[in-house]
Order: sequence, then structure tokens, then C-alpha cells
Amino acid sequence: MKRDLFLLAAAAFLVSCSPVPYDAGLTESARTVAKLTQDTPSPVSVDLFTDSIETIVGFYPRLTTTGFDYGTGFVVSENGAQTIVRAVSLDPSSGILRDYGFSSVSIPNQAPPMPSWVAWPTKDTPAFNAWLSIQTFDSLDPVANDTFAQFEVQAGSPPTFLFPGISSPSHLIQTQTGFSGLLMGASFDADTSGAQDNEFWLVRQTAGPGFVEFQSPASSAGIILSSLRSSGYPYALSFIPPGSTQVQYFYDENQAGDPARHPNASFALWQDGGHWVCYRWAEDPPNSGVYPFVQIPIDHRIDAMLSTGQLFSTEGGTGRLYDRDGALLATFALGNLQFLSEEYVGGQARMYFSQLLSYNQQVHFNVYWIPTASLATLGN
Amino acid sequence: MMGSMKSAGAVCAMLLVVVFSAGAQDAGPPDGQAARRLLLVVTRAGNSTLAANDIQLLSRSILMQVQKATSEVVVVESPGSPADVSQTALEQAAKGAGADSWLSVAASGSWTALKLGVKSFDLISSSMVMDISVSRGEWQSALDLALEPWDEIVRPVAGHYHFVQTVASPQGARLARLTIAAIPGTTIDGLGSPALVADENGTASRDVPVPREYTLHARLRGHSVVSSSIFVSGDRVVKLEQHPISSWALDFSLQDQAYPGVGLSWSPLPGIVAIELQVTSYLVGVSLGTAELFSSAPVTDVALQAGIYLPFQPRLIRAYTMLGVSVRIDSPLQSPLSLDALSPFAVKAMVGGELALSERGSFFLEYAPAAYFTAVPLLLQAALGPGNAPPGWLFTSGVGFNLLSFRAGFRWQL
Repeated sequence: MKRDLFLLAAAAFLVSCSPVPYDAGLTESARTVAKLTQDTPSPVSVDLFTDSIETIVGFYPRLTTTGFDYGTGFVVSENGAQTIVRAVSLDPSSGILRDYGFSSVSIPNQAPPMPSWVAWPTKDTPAFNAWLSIQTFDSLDPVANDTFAQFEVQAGSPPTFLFPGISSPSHLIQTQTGFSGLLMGASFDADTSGAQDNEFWLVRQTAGPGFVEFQSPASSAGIILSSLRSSGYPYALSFIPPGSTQVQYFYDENQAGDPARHPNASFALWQDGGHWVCYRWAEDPPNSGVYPFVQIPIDHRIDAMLSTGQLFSTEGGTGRLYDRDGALLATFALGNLQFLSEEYVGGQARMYFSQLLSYNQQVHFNVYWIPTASLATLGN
Repeated sequence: MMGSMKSAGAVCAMLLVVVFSAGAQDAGPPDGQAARRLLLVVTRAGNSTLAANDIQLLSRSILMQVQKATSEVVVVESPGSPADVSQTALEQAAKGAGADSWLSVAASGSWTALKLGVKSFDLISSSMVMDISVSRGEWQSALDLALEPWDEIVRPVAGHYHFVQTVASPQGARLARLTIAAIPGTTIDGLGSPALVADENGTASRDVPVPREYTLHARLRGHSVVSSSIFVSGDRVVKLEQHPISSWALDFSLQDQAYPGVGLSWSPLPGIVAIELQVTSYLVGVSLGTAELFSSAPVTDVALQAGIYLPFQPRLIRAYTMLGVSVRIDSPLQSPLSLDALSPFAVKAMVGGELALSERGSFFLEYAPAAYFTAVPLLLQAALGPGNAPPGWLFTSGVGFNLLSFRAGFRWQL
């Protein structure tokens, strides 16, 4: 009997090697995911044509007037040296999104943790031909002729890379395109009342006293550089350290019917001694010659200016929501949830997140959303 | 001296005749039964004038009368005069002589004024059978021993000690009487079939082939299993030390050969029902057969489970089944504590076996499948790694089943 028991114990030990159902990123995200609405009917399976070791960051599906089309999109990954954006489309035979080894753009990474890509929120009016756009630009240490590319997911397969910076010089944001400076940051405002959105830029002047703002309308045709103009008054933003090479920039355009968001405000963040500092300034009062600016108590990297006028940070896998005065409104765990962008779907501003799920030897993505107006409830 | 030797010789001759006559009456025990073995110890008290030979004559006289009175007792003489006649020493001497009882006679005075302190103790029932004083004042010499019936001594002995049950023995094997003293109702395994059961007197006896080593396992509901290895070369009495099962037990275990756990159990019905609080930590785990020897996840399971042992009667190996619920705590070393977001609750079932290694310690191995409840089943599945789901894992909407999970460890009664 003892021998039998020993054999049974040995057999159990040999076969029993069950791992613990735990993953730090997934565990941290789980509580937040439970409050989000899953947008993907089922996880989207993706197969990338790559031999390099890459960390997949996020999945950007095609945006339509009724929501996302998961038959095409972009996958953003990093390999340490580069941020790689790949266009993927559905392989009907397997039901898996593939990149087929082409249609990709690599943007060199420099000193982290600056993001080198931003998503462009758009509105969903049919006339606007809704699409999701991602801009990538080397904002870390800009020089003339830096890589700048804008990708758009439109109908068709495979998705197209519109306005790649290298091959379409007319869309490069460079000194010759209307201003004398280097692009440091970009911010988009989804203007639901018009046929165009506005894109705002923070530019470090190459032959001037420092930083200035520009703006240009953008539509489904891309950025309308012919309408490029200075934003507000072209006074130098002297409070931004002149030698800064890493500056994040956001612009909150005045929203009708929302007195709390008057006047329009701009935000810039940079690192000072390893800590993020954030300044806000406004156009008003006009003609003063000096922008009223103030440092607000935001000490984390900001990733998006939301339609609510709030600022959103995902630094360190933690979601933080601030008002325009820098007051922390909510904190919640994101884990490996990747913030995609804020989009208008059905007339409602939504915050979209993607999550990488690796199981059964396959990479999958789930996309979730929550109304922007409810984002703070994630902190409950 | 010469006179004393002569009288001793005459008494021996008379005693021999009586012994043979008594032996002629002994038809032997019936089949399946055996006589009790009584160690006779006769000693001389400090104030006695009796010589060593006188003591020997006295011993033979008592022996003869006991054997004459009953065939259900075999009197075994002490090989020497023990220096210590305490109850403990006599008990040890009896065991050493293969006896299951003793009769102690302490003689004082002289042949003309003889006083005897007589005691008898039954090792099987752990009871004093007799504790009396006997006087003889009319004797002239040792010759009077020949006609002394020792009724005060013989009657209690014959009245108390009777045959005990035995079993058939292998053909030709030499047998000895092994008597087990245990709590009444105790079942004793290890001496052939059927198992012995201690009677209301707390004894169980069987003739067993000798010389041989036997391993006994004694079990009684509510008591720990007692295992004892003994060597039997002759008649012998073994007293078992039995203890009630404690209501509390502590166990240390490894789940899935990797993760340490500790459990504290309480039993409202010891040995039958158990309620256990078990903590399993995944903070440090040993991953045999994998690239990394150690694994770690900041999760700790705290489980409350209850179950029963089957059968209720304790055995060397017993089965048990339990059912419990557990909460999974994230980062248990941090404050405040929070439940694991992937799967905060689980239901566990356990079917196991417990092998008694000692009176208080046992080894256990249990099959412990678990159902992990989750609001995010895909995340739970992905948390197991990028490969295919490990063997034994199944996922449905809302539940992840781990059907191939085992726990092994040791349990100590407190």
C-alpha cells in the first residue's frame, strides 16, 4: 500500500505543474476592464511578420461613422530602438489580421518616456468621412527634416499610409512649410460643429526667441497647410526652457456653452530634474504682449487632451484624470490597457483602449470603451 | 543448616507429587483459547528469618496450589529474586517473562509466625486483582507447606484469570500468546485476520507464531491510530498508549509541487469532520522542470473549507473529501489588502488520502480541482501565459477550471 501511495504521489507531482493564473499587467487592468464596454465582438487575432523581438503596444482599428471596423487597422510596437507602425488587414481564410511584411514605418526612439506618436480624434459626421489618424513624429530631439508621418485608416484593404513624411514632402512639418521652427508637439481638437478639425502645434523656433504655437485645419484630406497660421498671438512662450528638446503640448479649444473652459488654454509639459512640470497659458487677454501663464500641479506625463477639457495621463500603467487647473479627479489602474484615443461615435465622445492578450500561441487584441464623461467613474 | 536442607528436600518431593497430580488434571485449553500467564514473585521482607531456600519452598508451594486450582493459568516463576518489587518493576518483569499478569508475595516473620503480603495485577485489564495479607501462626516448620492449600490466594487468582481467545496457527509453528491491552473497542490490525478487538476489559489476545516481529495498528474512533512494531519470542503483553485525536491540527503543504501552504484545522467531531483555514502563498514557488527554478506571483489564497473523513473509523490510510471557498488576495505584503482583480473568488473541491506516519503526524495527498470565478475570463486565460492553456485548464464564460491540481503535505495534531 505504501508503495502504491508513493507511486500515486510521484505521478501527481509529475503531472501537476499548473501555473498561477496571474499576470501583473492583466491583473492591474482587470478591475478597470470590468467597468469598460468591450467593443470587439471577440478578441481580434493578429499575426505580425517580424523576426525581431518587439513589444506590442496597441492596436488601432479603422474608425467608421458607427464605430470601429476590426477588419483593418494599425498595430504599434516597439523594439527598443524604434516605434514601428504596421498596417494590418484581415486574412479572410484564417480570420487573422496580418501585416504581410510590408506597409510599415519605423520611427527611431530616443530618450524615453516621451511618446513618439499621437492619435488624432475625429468626429463621426458622415460628411467628414470618419477615420482614425495616427501621427508619429520624432519630438524627442527634433531637427530639420525629422521624420513625420501621418497614417490614416480608411476603407479598403490594406489600409493606406497617407502623408508619410519622407515620401510626401508637401506634408512635412518643416521650416519650409510655413514656419521657421521644429515641431515639438501636436494637439487636435475635434470640432463637432464644422467640417474640419483643428490641429495645433508647438514649435521651437530655429531663429527666434523660443517656442510659439501654430494651428491648421485638418480634414479627411489631411492637414491643410495652406491655412497654417499662428495660434493666438505670436508671442514667445518664454517660460518654456529655451533649450528644451522634449515638450508635450495640448490645446483646449474653446467649447461653446461651457463657461468653465473659457478662455482657450494651452498646456505644455517637460521634465525638470526627472519630474514632470506642467504649465498652462491662455490667449487672453489679447494684445497684452505677454501670455498669462501659470504652473499647475500635474506631475505626470499627459497623453491626451479630452473633449471635456480634462487632461488624461497613462504614465506607469495608471490612469489619472486632471481638470484644467491640474486638480486630480480620478486615479485608476490600467495595467497593460493601452489608451488609443478619444473618438466620437454616435455623437458621443468615447475613450478607447486596446489590450494585448496572448494565449493559445496567438496575439489577440480586445478594444474597450467608456464615455469620456464617465471616465472619472473608473476611479470609484 | 543440614536440617533445613533436609526439610527442603522433603517438601520438594511432596510438592513434585502434587504438581504432577495437578498436571494430570490439566487437559489443556480448548481450541482457539489459551491460558493466562502469571508471573509469581516471592520475596523476603527485611525482618524475616526465612532463608533463601525457605522462600523458594514457599514459592513452589503457592505455584503448585495455583496450578492445582486452575488450568486457565500458567504460573511463570521469576528467574531470580527481584530487588525492586514496585508495581512498575513487576510489570516490566512480567512483560520480560512473557506473562500477562503478576502475583507478588512478600514474606516476613518466621515459619511459626509467617506473614505474607500478597498482590496480583492483571496487565491486560490494568487492574489490581488482589491486595491482601495472609498469616500462618500454627506451623512448626516448612513441612507444613505440603498441606497448605493457600485458599486466600488461590481463589481470587482462579476466579479472575481465565482463558483468552486465540486463533489457529500455521502448521508446525511455535506459538506464543500475545496480549494487547488497549481501550475497550479498539481494533488491532497486524496479527492476522480477523482483526482483534479489545473486549470490555480492554484486552485482546491471540496466539501468534514466534519468534517474529509484528507491526500493530490500533484504531479507535476519536483516537489516533497507534502503530507499534514489536518482537515476540514468547508470551507477551503489550500495552498500547492511545490518545484522543486532537480537535486542532496544523499542516504544511505544497500545492502543485511548487507553492507553500499552511493550514489550521478544527474538528467538532475529531477524526470525522474537519473545518480548515488554509493559506497558500504564491510569493515564492519552486518550479521544477522549468527554466527558472523559482517563480513568484504576488497572490495569496485564503481558503475556508470543510469536509469529512471516510470511513469514520480511523485507519492507517483514510480518505477524506472537502469543499471550500477561497479569496485571492493581491500583494499580501502591501497595505491595504485588496482582492485579486482577475479572479477574486474560487471554489475548491478536495478528495484526498491521509497516511498515518505516527500517532500525531500524517502525510496527505489530495486532488484539489478549483473553479476560479472571474468577470474577465479572457484576461484570466491570458494570465496563464502566451502558450496553449496548460493541461487541465478549461474556460467558460465567467469561470476558469483548474482540473489538474494536487496538494501534498504533512499534518500534525496539536
